[in-house]
Amino acid sequence: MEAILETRGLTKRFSQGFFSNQKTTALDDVSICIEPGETVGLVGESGSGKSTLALSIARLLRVDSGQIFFNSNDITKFTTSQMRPLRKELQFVFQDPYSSLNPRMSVKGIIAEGIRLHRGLSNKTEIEDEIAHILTTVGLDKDSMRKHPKEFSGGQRQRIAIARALAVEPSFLICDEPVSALDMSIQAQILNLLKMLKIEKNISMLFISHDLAVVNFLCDRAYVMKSGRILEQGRVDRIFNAPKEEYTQDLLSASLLVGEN
Amino acid sequence: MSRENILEVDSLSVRFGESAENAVDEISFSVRKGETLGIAGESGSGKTTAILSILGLLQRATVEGSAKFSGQELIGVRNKVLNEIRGKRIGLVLQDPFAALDPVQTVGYQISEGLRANGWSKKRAMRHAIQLLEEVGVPNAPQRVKAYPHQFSGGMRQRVVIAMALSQDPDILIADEPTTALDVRIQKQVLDLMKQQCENRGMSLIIITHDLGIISHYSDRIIIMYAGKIVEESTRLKLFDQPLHPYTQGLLDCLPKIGNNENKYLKTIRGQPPILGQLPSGCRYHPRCSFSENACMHGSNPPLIPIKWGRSACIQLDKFLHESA
Repeated sequence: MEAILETRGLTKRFSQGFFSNQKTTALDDVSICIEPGETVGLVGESGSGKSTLALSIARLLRVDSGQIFFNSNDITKFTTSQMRPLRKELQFVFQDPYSSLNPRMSVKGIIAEGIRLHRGLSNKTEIEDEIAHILTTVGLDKDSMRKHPKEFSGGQRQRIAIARALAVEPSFLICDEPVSALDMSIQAQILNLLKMLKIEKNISMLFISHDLAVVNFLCDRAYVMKSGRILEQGRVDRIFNAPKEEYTQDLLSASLLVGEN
Repeated sequence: MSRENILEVDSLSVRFGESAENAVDEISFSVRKGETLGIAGESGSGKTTAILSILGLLQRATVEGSAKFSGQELIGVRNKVLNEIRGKRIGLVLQDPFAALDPVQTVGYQISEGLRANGWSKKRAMRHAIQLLEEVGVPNAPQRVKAYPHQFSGGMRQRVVIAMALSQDPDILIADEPTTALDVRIQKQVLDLMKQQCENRGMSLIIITHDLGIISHYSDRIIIMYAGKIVEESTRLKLFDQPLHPYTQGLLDCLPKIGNNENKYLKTIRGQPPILGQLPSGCRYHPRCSFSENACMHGSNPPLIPIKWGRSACIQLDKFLHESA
């Protein structure tokens, strides 16, 4: 099967310091591959380069070298206008549902933007029906449409962010720590929603998390990152039962899971 | 281990401003000498508010009830009395080690500040600061004591904050979400450190967290809070084996487990925690509870019923006790 997303040798350095003379290597020769319908986890500690990789793939950040292939097209050097049709296929759900939604737009406005742009719908009732349908899919009342983000709790906002991503019918979803800002009981609800998308809509996903139990629940395969490099990769059951790298083993034994003590 | 209570909280209520409903509503609990008490709950459940009110650190709040530290009342007393206890007998470690330290003072200055206020000489206080930094595992302490907070990583900063809290050898260490800002490997190191310091000093520890994993590894006794109320109190061994309150059961069920999860969904608690000002009547958990009956919806909030190893606030407690027995 052909990969929906592949990166080859991605490298990204950030400059720091007064003369921009301190270089931090955020991505170091990173190659990953995601097949259609696959949910792939990306785990690692803060500063390991997980979010840099996600932003680079979405072309929200320019890489120094390496290539990004989306549906076999090399999109590494695509211009903004070349990227535009791909934005329909590739959507992003961010960690913080408080800063990722425009507070001045209604939920309807937030979701309708993508529908109008990418799906060419212009009939008002058609768009509203579509928004109602999407809101129901993510477990929100269709009357939420008229409200603004501030009227919702964190979990509900994350549902709106997911609804916005789904509205353009993407084939690939990048989720950067989508549940880590949420309360325990709400986290489970959002994880189930993502699982439903995976099982019923067959959407491919890159799922970033520092929580190994969450990755184990949702993902088929996972990459472990440290200091900008991929340390190991494999099916989640293999990684969690028989990690090859000492670092992965460390991460696992430091995860304080309920019911193992 | 001695079983004397060091902190006794009785019918503690906290209300903010003109609000008609209590953010913390008549909670009672105690902390024994040398034990670790875990307080768990979702955001807004009142766990931090309860602790801050005991230490007199809440502004514009009405606090009622009683909290006795070694027999000394803490609620409603003057700051002069509290100052003899805060920092000296009760140490506090907050969530964010970036906000808890003064960026323009060396860490040594900050660790020794309390000691100097107690009349220690500068030299002696600094020597003690170095010793404390060594104890909390900061490498190269004699040099690092002169460094500024920005020269430390997050985990090291939290160690500095712990050294500060330990500087006057308190009887209780209160840690409010001490590791939420830290990575998993650092989190374990910091928690191990606090636990070990408590054992060495015979100090009691109160860990406030939303993370049941931390609670299950580090506390002896556990209090679960929901919407300003304690809904269950149990021991570490019992809580995870035999959770009695439906809320505790729900929380445990919705945690993802390591293992084969293909095509499986998590059990969830429906809805979301109530907002202050819109608390439901009867049991505050009833709109989300899957066992809720007619009797749960009306009347007053169910009281905590004592059981052999703790307390639970559910009118159907007998049913759950029989089922799990």
